[in-house]
Order: sequence, then structure tokens, then C-alpha cells
Amino acid sequence: MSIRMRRQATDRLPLSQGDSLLVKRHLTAGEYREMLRASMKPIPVTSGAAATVELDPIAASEALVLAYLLDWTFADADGRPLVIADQPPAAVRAVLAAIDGDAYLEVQRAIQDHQAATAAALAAEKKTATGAATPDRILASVE
Amino acid sequence: MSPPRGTVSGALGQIKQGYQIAAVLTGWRIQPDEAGGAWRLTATVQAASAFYLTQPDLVFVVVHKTGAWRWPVGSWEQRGTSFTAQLGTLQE
Repeated sequence: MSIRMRRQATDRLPLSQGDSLLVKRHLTAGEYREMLRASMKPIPVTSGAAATVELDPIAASEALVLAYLLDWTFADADGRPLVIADQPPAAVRAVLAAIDGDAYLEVQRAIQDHQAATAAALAAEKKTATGAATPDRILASVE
Repeated sequence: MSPPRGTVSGALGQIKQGYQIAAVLTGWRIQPDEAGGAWRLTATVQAASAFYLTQPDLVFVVVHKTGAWRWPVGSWEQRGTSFTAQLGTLQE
């Protein structure tokens, strides 16, 4: 029997100007599915064609941020905290739309890097845990 | 914001387990239990996770302008869309 559910864990990602983000370390299956669902847009159906969807890059970037982001240290123009912790997704989306474009891109880049780093760590963890064949060993078995 | 005292009510609240949302509640109301000492939450369930609601350390969270109020959830019951729970001491 193997463990297939992780404890909730968070990471703090440093940003410029002393700011930081608090993000989920991993997404659950449900959160991952919701992120994918929010990343797609329907393609208009032409006569006789089956309905389908395609990736919307703009929506996908926002879905990624919304999936991971829990809190941050950002403040408004008067220095008051921009509260997003425990806020419903619609409220967080509204705040994300109101911050500076540069700040949004910095948040997006930080979370993309975080996702890539955790994916790499997971891949390494799986190899260590299962003793999965490395490419070298696979090639050797084919020869 | 100053902490709520006496009977309080609001439009939207959440039951959380860690950072996960176990339930979204509307039309919530908190009042002293008749037995005294505890607080009783009544609300309408808009959405709920059958998994996270069964997990330990549930907290009722209400967002206000500068943060959130959090009450630990003791026993709880859901009947249809009706949700009731015993709450612990407010954590700020």
C-alpha cells in the first residue's frame, strides 16, 4: 500500500522589493482538474463538427495563479494590505486584475517556477522511491 | 476590526480544513448556545466537500475588511442544505 495523499504544505516565494507569496506546495487532483477546466475555452462549433475546446493561454496563466496562490504581502496605493487570504476565488481574481501589470507578471513567473521546481522534485522523489529504470538502464536492456 | 460579540450573522462564510474549503456557507448566524459556554452556528450550505468535512481541525472562517475571524468547529450536522455546528473560542 502506498501513500497517495499529501499533507497540506505551503511555500513562501520571495519577490522583488521585499514582497513574497504564500503558495500551495502541491495541487490535489481536484485542484489540478479545476485548473485545467479554467484554462480551456470552447471552440465555436461549425456545421457537422463535434464540439471541442482549446487551451486559452491567458486563462491558463490566471488559472495557474489562482490554483496555487494563498496569500501575499502586497499593499494598495495607500499602504493598506491587499487581503486575499481566505477570500473566495472571485474576490482574488478581482484583486489580481487590479494590481499593476508588472506585479501580476512577477506573481505569474514565480508560481510557474514554483510549479516547475515541485514537478522536478516529485519526479526525483518517484525515481528514488520506486527504483524506476533510468534511461541508461532502459537502453541497456534493449541492446 | 473589533471581534464580534453576542449574536452575529453574515452573508458568506467558509468551513476550512487547513487551506482547503470544506464547505461554503451562506446566511450564517452565530449565537450563544442555550447551555452556555459554547457558540452555535446555523447556516445554509451552498457547496461542500464530503471528504474535507470529515477531516479533523475544521475552522469556520468569516472574512472581514482587514483579515478574517476564525472559530474552531466542534460537532456539526448537515441536513439537506441546513448546517449547524458547535464552535469554539474565536481565534484572531
